[in-house]
Amino acid sequence: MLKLVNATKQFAGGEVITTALNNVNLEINTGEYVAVTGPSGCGKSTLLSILGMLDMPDGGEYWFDRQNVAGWSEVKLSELRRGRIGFIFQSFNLIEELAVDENVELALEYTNVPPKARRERVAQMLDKLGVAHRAKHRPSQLSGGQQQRVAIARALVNKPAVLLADEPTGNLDTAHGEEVMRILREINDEGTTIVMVTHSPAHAARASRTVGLLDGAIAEPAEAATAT
Amino acid sequence: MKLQDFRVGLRILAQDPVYSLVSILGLGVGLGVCLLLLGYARHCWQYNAHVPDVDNVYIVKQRNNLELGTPWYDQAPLLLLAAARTAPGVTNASGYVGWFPLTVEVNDQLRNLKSLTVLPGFAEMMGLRAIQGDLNEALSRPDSIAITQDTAIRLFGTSDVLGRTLLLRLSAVDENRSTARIAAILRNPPANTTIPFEILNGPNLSLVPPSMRDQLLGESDWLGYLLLRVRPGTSLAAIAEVLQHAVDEAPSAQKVPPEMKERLGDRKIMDIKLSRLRDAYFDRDVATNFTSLTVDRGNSTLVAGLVAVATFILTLAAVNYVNLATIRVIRRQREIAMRKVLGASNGRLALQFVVESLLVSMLASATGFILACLALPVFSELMNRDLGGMLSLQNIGTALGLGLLLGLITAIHPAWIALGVRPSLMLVGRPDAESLCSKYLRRALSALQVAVAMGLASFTLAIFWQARFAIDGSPGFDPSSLLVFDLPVGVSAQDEKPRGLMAALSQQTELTGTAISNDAVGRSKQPWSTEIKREGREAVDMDVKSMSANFFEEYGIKPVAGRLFDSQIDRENDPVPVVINAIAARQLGFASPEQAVGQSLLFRSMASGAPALITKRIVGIAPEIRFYSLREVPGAIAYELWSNSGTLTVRATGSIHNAERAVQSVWPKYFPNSVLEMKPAKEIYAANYADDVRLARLLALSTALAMIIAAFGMYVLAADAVQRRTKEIALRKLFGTRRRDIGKLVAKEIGAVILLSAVVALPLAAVAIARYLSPYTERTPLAYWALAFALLVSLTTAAFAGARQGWIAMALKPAVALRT
Repeated sequence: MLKLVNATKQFAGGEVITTALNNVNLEINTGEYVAVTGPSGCGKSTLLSILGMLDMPDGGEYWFDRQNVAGWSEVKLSELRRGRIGFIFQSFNLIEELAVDENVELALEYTNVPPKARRERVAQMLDKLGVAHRAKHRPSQLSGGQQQRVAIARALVNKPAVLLADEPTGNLDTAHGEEVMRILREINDEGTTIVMVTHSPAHAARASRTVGLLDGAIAEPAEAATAT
Repeated sequence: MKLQDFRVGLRILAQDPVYSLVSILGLGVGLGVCLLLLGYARHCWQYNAHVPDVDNVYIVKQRNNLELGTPWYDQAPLLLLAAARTAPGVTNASGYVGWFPLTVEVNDQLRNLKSLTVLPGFAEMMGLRAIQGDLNEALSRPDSIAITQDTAIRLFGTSDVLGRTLLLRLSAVDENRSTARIAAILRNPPANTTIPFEILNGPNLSLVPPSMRDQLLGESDWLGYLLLRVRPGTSLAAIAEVLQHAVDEAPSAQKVPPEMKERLGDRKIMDIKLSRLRDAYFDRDVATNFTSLTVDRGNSTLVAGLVAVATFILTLAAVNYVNLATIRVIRRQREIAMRKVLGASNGRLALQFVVESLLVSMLASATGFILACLALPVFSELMNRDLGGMLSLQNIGTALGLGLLLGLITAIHPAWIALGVRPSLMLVGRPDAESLCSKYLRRALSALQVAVAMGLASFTLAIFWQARFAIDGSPGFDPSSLLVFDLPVGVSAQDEKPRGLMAALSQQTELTGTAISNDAVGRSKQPWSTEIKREGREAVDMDVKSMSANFFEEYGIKPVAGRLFDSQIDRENDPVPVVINAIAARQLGFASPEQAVGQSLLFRSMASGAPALITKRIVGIAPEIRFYSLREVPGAIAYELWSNSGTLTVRATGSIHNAERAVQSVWPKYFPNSVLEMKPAKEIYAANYADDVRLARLLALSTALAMIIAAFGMYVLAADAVQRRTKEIALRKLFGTRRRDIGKLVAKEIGAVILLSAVVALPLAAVAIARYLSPYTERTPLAYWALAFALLVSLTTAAFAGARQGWIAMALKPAVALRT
């Protein structure tokens, strides 16, 4: 489903060029649950950005669903991304000016789903994630765990093929973190491909496969874990 | 455009109410000022627009070349009407005169009314229709008149006055009065017309003396206001040629002596031209025409300047809003990134910001319109115009349109920043922040705000100081104790009643004597010039002022050489003695003013009906007396004894208010039918600069607003600088930087903007000041100090605006700042 071939990504900051990804080859099949581990600054978030088509590699290829999307324009990428990829972030990234149900509905706003169908889907998703009773509240009125569940609802309401999670439990206590991991497991059981970046070996172990990243290149998970 | 976008926009406004209020109010005030100024400009540009097909209506103007330097007048010989009716393309030729200002007696009170005697065809020309009654009857019958609604309400308390009668008087001394029936009631003429009236009467009104009626309706060379309506596409040159021919062949032209015709050379005795009625308001030719009726006149450069000021103010307000909106967008980068992640296209994202901007701009439009309505009475008084008509549907539409346009334009920069947000960096905690280009643009916009405020402040101060310099400057005597008033129309000082009045005034202890002159100092109602020469030398054309023997005494004026007229020495109306000024002495070829004393001059006079040379003897040299404004180059003036004029001046022995009361108590005994219009001499002189003072006041208000908006801008700039540099400030403190160094950091940010603004604004302001002062012959020494003062005010404003943020920066706790 997702395939990186010799993908390279560099960032230029003045006269200094930083190589975030260095000839990375990675293939993720449909329905897989992959954890990406590695020390800070090894390129995990960059890898996730490229997989989510928020950024493109400077070199190499990226095949999404049998299409090489490297070099595509932002407009085309946005269209491809819409409804097919869901994102969950460490800092939730909910919009404070919108209520909980409006935050979830935002993901459907840029699709062709009619308003009535949108509202139904939102209600179902909130119910599934146990936050329906907070539908009209603002994000700042929710606990961290509830906020992350809303973010997950937003990521799933479009029934995406792929879910990308960047440190989804990073800002949560153990109990809430466990809850989120349980939800991700359920989602994967339902057939959604998940790629999760995590610092936690325990959480990485919940995935079906772990990929280690070290200095922008794929490494053995153990080696990446030692470097952490 | 979705409802969701409006909802988000409203919530964002509600989230930070102070910030939002500053945004909306800043933009609203700018819009309000802009609406007032643009409304005023529109009011000026729409003068006479109510006249049907006004673009094809023309005024006939003439210039009499027999007197050197005579300007164009908007009145022409009435004989031209008959000629005009035969000219190709003329569909209507009519006119009006103001020779018969009517006084109305109602409830034993006298009121002067603006009355016009109109010729046949005038009502049709002007598109006048009676609301009640028969206008044709009102203008053709000897016992009927037409009045306006407002006049009816003022006189009778109601507009339902058809058939009622008014007691009219034509002349203050003439016992001739007559009752006229109100045969028609007219809609009030709009405020923006150069043909205002309260009463209309036809030439057949019984009060009009028969001899004058003949002049009005016959082929007279008496002057009147002539209006022609022409068919579109008609050659104006052809019409002018017909009229020119008529004037060239007129009986009066045949009476001009051959030597005068010879002096004219190729020039005609009288030039004729046509001028659009639409352009009458801005016609500078006739603005100072002493024979013109007192109507509104404007200066197109001034109006264009006010439009420029309106644009500046609106630009300032818009720039301020763009800065505020941009900072808000920067704070919302995370949200924008999320929307992009969720699939928002660039167009969709941009649309959201357009909607939010439109929300603010429409709220600001409504605020601005309300503020403009509230400020309208004060603004009307300031501009000395009736601007009530500005509250129209059209102007409401303009306000909305302007708000819409502003909303779209001010959305561009915030939307551009939003489109540049990179989700990949933003969402992983590495904020994109603002590009360097955007940062510099915002600083440049802030500098623009301050530059406009600084430029306006300099220009305003210079105008104000120049106006004060002109008004406070000595006109050649001390006007503070002098009161000036005119005798009623048609009455001169040597008539019986005025002599009785002057004798009575001389008995008043509050007054010294009464001086007579043909005009007040500082006013140009009765200019007269003639040729004066020394034997064997070329003639010099100079202004001649006529006065009584005690004029110089009453005005407290002392001679430069010789003596001035003296009531103890000189006989009234003695044709021999003459006083001249130093400029006249020089122009006449005298080596010094003293050398002119005792010398003879030859005056060309038309007193006997034919030109004749009269010998006068110079008895003395008068100092410079400012008969004209500082905009005019002082010229040669001759003073002669002739007291058959109509302007009287009295000097107060003590309080000027007591003196006023004394005159008011005596006047009705001699002129019970005439309203006394008396003014302090200083006020008459200051009237030359009324427009300048008005402009200075208007600019002062605009400057104050510009400064307030610029202060907002400075505050936001300082707040943004502190927020951006919080970590840097915290780190500097860790390394031991003192508080005052932190304060200097903030001051540098603002200071750089002020410096840039000064470099842009002050040279431009200097050029504008130089241009404004160029027509003045004397200028205030303070003019260019206005630049330094404006810079000081800007620095002070910026210091106050940035003080709070500077204090926050200085008080910042490093540990807290580095943790968050």
